[in-house]
Amino acid sequence: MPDVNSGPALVSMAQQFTGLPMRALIGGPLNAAAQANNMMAVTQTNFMLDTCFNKKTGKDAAGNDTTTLEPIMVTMHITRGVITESESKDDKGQPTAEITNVTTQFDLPLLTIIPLNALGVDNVQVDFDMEVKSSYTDEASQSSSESTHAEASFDAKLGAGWWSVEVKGSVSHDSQSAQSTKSTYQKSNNAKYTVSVHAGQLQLPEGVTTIIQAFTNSISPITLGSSSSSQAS
Amino acid sequence: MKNQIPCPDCQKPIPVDTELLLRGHEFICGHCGLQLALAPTSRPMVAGVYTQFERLLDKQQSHQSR
Repeated sequence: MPDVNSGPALVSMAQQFTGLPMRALIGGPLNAAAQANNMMAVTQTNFMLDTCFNKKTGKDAAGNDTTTLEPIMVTMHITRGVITESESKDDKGQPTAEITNVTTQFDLPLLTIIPLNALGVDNVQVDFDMEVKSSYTDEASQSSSESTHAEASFDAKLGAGWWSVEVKGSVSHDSQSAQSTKSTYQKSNNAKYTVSVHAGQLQLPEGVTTIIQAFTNSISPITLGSSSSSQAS
Repeated sequence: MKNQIPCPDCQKPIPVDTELLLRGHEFICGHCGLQLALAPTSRPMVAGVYTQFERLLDKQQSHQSR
């Protein structure tokens, strides 16, 4: 009978996984995403410089060529209610208060209202499933069959004159034997390995955020005037 | 597409949708009630840049889906 212990060894699962180029399998897609993000950052910067800035070239005092980028400004209107004293007076002779909408305009850099941070890989997921299966089957079969056959016959005839005798006889022998042996054993193992990598959205580059913040801080509303003589606070 | 503009009055962020801003919508600061809108004179310029931006975005999305 086959011995399970004496059969060929199953593959080592640990060895199978150790030999995998995990760095390439996981790092490859992430690297590609990072490169895509890098390309998009360059595209984003070029887009920002081309569309949100006016480029002015000139020469400095030393005669060297200089390029100055001036942000393109867009005009925004803001409206807010202001409590003012009206010319009418109440029963006690006090001037009544009324809420007047005051419209003010201010200039805002164009780049602050274009949602540039939408240009970026926001989700990268690498699912890596590996299944290693190892199996071994041993089957032994033995069969034997034996068959014998023997046969004999005789025939005799005696006679003289008016009498005679005839004798006939036969002998036969059959023998059959069969033997069968069958044994089977099987051993198997399998393993599954899953890796998930997730990368989130990158924020705007710090430099762009600083530029936007600087422009934001320099916003100074200019009062256009209102229906009354009030002014924006 | 949503963006945030700091309120010129109270500095709190006002969520702004650029597309709606281009259509003339006003956005209200949730803190001080200030109403913010794009001036009609600036709309054509912003619309032009936003169209270019959308093309860039489409290009990026088609690149990602490949």
